[in-house]
Amino acid sequence: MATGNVALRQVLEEPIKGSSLWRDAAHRLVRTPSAMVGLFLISLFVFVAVFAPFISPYDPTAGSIVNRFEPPSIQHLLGTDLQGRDILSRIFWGARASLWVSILSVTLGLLIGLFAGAISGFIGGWLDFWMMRIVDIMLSLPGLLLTITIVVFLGPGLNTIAFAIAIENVPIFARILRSSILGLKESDFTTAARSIGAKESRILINHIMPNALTPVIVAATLALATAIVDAAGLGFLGFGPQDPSTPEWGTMLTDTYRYLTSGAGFTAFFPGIAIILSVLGFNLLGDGLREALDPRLKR
Amino acid sequence: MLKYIVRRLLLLIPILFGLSLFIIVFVHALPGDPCSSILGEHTSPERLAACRQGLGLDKPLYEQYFDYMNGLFHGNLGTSATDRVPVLTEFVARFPATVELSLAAMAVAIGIGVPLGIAAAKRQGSVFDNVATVGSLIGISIPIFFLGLLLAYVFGVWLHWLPTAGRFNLRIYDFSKAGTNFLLWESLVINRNIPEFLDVVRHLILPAIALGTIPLAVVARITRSAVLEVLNEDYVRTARAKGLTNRRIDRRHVLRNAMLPIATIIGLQTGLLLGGAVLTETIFAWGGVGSWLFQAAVDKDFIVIQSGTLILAILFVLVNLTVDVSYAYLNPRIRYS
Repeated sequence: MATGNVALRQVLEEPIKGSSLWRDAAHRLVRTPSAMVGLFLISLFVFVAVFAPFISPYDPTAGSIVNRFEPPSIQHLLGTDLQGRDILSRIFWGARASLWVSILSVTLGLLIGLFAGAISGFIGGWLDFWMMRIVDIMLSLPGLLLTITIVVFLGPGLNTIAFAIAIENVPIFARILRSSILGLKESDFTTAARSIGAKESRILINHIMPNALTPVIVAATLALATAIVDAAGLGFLGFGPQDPSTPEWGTMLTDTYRYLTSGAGFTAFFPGIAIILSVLGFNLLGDGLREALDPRLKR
Repeated sequence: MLKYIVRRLLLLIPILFGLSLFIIVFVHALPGDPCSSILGEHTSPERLAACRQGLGLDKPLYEQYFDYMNGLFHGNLGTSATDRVPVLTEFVARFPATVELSLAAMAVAIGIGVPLGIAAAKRQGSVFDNVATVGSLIGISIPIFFLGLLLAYVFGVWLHWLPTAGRFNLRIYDFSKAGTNFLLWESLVINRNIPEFLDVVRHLILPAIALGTIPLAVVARITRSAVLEVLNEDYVRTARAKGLTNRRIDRRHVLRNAMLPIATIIGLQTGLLLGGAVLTETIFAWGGVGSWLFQAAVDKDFIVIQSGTLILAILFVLVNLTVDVSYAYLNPRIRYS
C-alpha cells in the first residue's frame, strides 16, 4: 500500500516538477537531428550576416574587370564575378540582405496577420465572416505576381520587397491563428477553466493563446524560408537593391543568367548554394518544430 | 451531388464581385499608373492628363469599377494600355503555353513523387527513406530560378543536349496549320508530325523539370505520410492476416485510402502552377501567362493586371472546386448535402 502511494505521488508530481509545453517541446527538438542541422545552418547564416564586415576577405564592391570570372583560387576561394569582385565576400554581405528581408517581412506579416486572426477568432460573427472572405480572396490571387505588382508600384529595394512579402503572409498567419483559436475555444480545458471561475481575459492569455500560437510559430519559421526564396526571386527579376554596393544573392544570379553563355563559369552558381543552405535551415527547423510542438505526436 | 456543384458554381458570383473589387481597389491604391510608364518621365502634364482621360483613369474609382464590371458582363475584359491588344485575345494566345508547361511539370511531380513517397513509406527509417526525406526537403528549398539556371547551364550550354529557350524550333515547327497553340496536341494529333512533336517535347523537358521539382518534393512528402498513416490501420493488418499478397494489399487497401490527401495536394499544386510561372518562363523564354502578367506589372498596365489576375483567381477557385468534387469519388464517406 505504501509503495503504491509513493508510485502514485511520483506520477502526480512528475508533470508538475519540470514539464511545460515549451520545455517538453525543447527537449523533443534537441533530440531531432534534422532540426539541429537546421539550427546549425541558421546560426551559420545569421553569424555570416552579422559579422560580414569582419570575416569577408575582400571589399564586396571592389574589383577589377581584368580579374573577371576567375576560377576558385587561394586568393579568391570562390572565384570572382563579372566585375572581378570576390564572390565569397559578396555572399557574406548578401546574407545581410536576405536576413533583413526575411525578418522584416515575417515580423510585419505576423503583426498584421495575428491581429486580424485574433479578432476574427475571438469576436466571430459578421466581422469574422467578412475578414475570412478577404483572406479567401487574397489566398486565391497568384502570389508572386501580387508581390511583383506591389514592388513595381512602390519601387524596387529591400524594404519594399519585405513589405510585399509581408502582405502575402498576412492571410496565411491570420487564418492559422483564427482556426486554432476556434478549435481551442471549444476545448475541454477552456471549459474546465471557465467552470472553476477563471476570468475570460485570463482564459484567453493563459490557456488559449499559448496553445494557439504553436502552429503560428511553425508557419512563421517556414515563412522565413519562403521569404528568402521570394526575395531572391525578386532580386533575380531586377527588383533588388538598386545600389550596386549592396550585394544581394538573387541579383548576383541575374549576372550569372546574363553571362551564362559568355564566360560565367560554375562559380557564378555559388550564391544559389547560399540560398539553398539558408532556406534548408529554416525548413529543417520548421519541420522539427512542427513535430516537437504537436503534443499529439508525444511518445 | 449535382446540387452541390451548382451551389458551388453560384457561389462563384459573389466571389467574382469580391475579387474584382479587391483587385481594382488594390491596384489603384498603389502609386503610379500606366500613363507615366507609356509616356516616360519627360512628358508634359497636358499629355499625361489626356492619356489618363483616354483610359478613363480620371473618373472616380466607383465609376471605373462600374464601367469595368459592365464590360466584364458583356464579355469585354478590357484592352491593354501599352499595346492595345484585348486582354482576352492575349490570354487565349498564351494560356495554352502555361497549360502545357503546368501539366508537364505535374507529370514530372506525380510520376516521380508518388512512387518515391510510397517506396519511402514502405521502408520507413531505412537509408532510402532518409535520403528521400532529406532530398525532398532540399527540393523544396531550391529557388526555382536557380534550378532553372543550373539545368540550362548543364544540359543546354555545357552538354548541348536540350534547347533552353522557347517552345519549338522555327526550322522544324510548321506554323501553316497552327490554330490552338496547344503545340503538343497539334503536332501529334492534328499535324501527325512526329519530328515536330519530338521537338516540342525536347523544348518542354527543362522548364518542366525546373517547375516540377517543388511540386515533386511536396507530393513525395504528402504521399509518404499518407501511406504511413494507412499502413498502420487495422484493416491493413487484417488484410495481411487474411494472407493477401502484398501487391493486392498495396493496390486495394493502402493506395486507395491514401489517395485522398495525395489528390488534394496534386489539385492544389496544379492550381498554383496555372497561376503562371514568372521565373521559369523568364529563364526559358516561355511565352505563357506568367511572363505576360509580369510585363504588365512592369508597365503598370492596370487593365491587364486586373483582368489577368481575375481570370487566374477564378481558375484557381475552379480547380479547387474540381478537387472538392473529386473527393466524393475517392472517398465514399464524404457526401455533399
